[in-house]
Amino acid sequence: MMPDIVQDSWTIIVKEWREWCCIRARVGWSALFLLIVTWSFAAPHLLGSFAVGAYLVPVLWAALPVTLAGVMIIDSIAGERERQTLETLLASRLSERAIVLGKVVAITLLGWLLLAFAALPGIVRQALTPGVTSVAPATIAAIVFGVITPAVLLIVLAGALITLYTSSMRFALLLTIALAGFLILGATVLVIGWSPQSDGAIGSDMAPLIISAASLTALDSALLGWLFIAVQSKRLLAIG
Amino acid sequence: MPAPAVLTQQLTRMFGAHTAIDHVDLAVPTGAVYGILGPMGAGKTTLVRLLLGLVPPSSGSARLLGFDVRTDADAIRARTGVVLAAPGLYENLTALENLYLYARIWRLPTADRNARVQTLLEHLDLWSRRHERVAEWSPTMKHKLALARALIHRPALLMLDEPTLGLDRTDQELLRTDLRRLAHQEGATVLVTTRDPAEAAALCDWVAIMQHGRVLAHGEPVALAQRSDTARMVIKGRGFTPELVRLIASRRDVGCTAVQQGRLIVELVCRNAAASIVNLVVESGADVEAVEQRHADLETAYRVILEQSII
Repeated sequence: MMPDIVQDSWTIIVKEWREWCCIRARVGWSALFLLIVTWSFAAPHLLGSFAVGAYLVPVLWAALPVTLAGVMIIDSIAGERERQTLETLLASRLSERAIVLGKVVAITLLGWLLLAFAALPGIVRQALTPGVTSVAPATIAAIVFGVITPAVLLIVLAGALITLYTSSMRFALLLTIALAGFLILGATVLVIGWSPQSDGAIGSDMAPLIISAASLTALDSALLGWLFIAVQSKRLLAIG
Repeated sequence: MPAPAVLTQQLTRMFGAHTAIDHVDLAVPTGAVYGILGPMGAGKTTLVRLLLGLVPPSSGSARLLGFDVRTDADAIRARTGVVLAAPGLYENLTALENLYLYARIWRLPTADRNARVQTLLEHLDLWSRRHERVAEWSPTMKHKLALARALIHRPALLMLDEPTLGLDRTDQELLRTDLRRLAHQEGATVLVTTRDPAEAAALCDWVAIMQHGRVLAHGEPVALAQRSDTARMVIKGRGFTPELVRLIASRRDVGCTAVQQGRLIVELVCRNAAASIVNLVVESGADVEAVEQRHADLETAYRVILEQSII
């Protein structure tokens, strides 16, 4: 038997996906994915031939999925609060933790799907046509899956926490987008900062990559723990 | 005699220095339709949230279906169906998808789920429109669907927070009829909040009147109307001038005065005031043909009780 929280979270995950799928905006969705995939091909051509630029390509790929995942988690919690569906959900037999966990998992998986659309076409293109960038596709893939996937989870967890401590969806959105921008700028600064230390050959030294991945994963665990402790109906409903 | 479905003792909730719920004592009999009647800001919604365990009480206690709201809120929510002032439906989903979602939440077996959804939608005359997106529906249909959602798991207790808010009179009556029928069929205890005394009188076996977080009076609607010492006096005659109406309305023992179809209607806060008001009418030079005095309805009693609480 699955534990209650897993079964209940799965119900919420399916609900979230169904809601996103049912938004009647085919043109909007198509435009979004076209933008992401185009950027996936374009980024290596624009920056790939430069030593530092090659490492900035994954950062650019991450920009849209990280920001969009942040926007989606705010819509999922604070938006549902403003659409007045969250209170009915909280008045059901589901626990607050199961509801929030389901939303976090659903949006993280959607963020990873966007990341796959953003990175995979570019990685495949680089693998098929060597010389587009100065970095091996395997290294790029390691950066994407080792560093950016926990970064997507980080912004989702941070967004969920922000909704617990702000009563306004608009302000939660501003804070989360600002945090996403800070993450992307921070990653850019780190990449540029590391390159002189390794003579522009970051790929030969995987330590920064491993440290970043480990730090993000540790931060994700801490935020998840905080979220589980902080989540309460009155915070979700912004009462009092 | 069965234990009350809802029992609160000195239930209080503070938000900072503001007392939203002020030492409320309630006993909702099992199987009854119990109304919480009060104006906007009376604390009705906060009371519902307290009873559901969504907000913890500052002091006092509340037990629903034998469970304590502080320690067993999950058990209470598992046995309760809820319709809040907003229907709380997912507008991008169809009616069926909305109900199936809650059927999954309540873990109804698949076979039972399909039959239950069909029964409820047929009872509420929504079955033919089950594949439509809720966003395209009228407010009344949304409220009906919210009612079906609240009943899907056969709850022992149904809590409705202003379920007819925003609907016109005809639709309110339609929804009330459905609610009465379904509550009776399902055998659930119903706790309904409303700001409409006519709705409380039409729907409820028991009513508690709330203002500023306090329960001012409670009882059966008829008894409440009689107990309040209010009455409605109808004076038939001629010559009821606007000055006379204003003069009567200015008295502290009068709630409301109006002339309708040649009749002077006076709502008395105190029944003993009837004789002095008839004298006043005669002295003003008006012709009095007949005087009739009736017990006030819940609407009048409600208004008077609220006015007295302000004084």
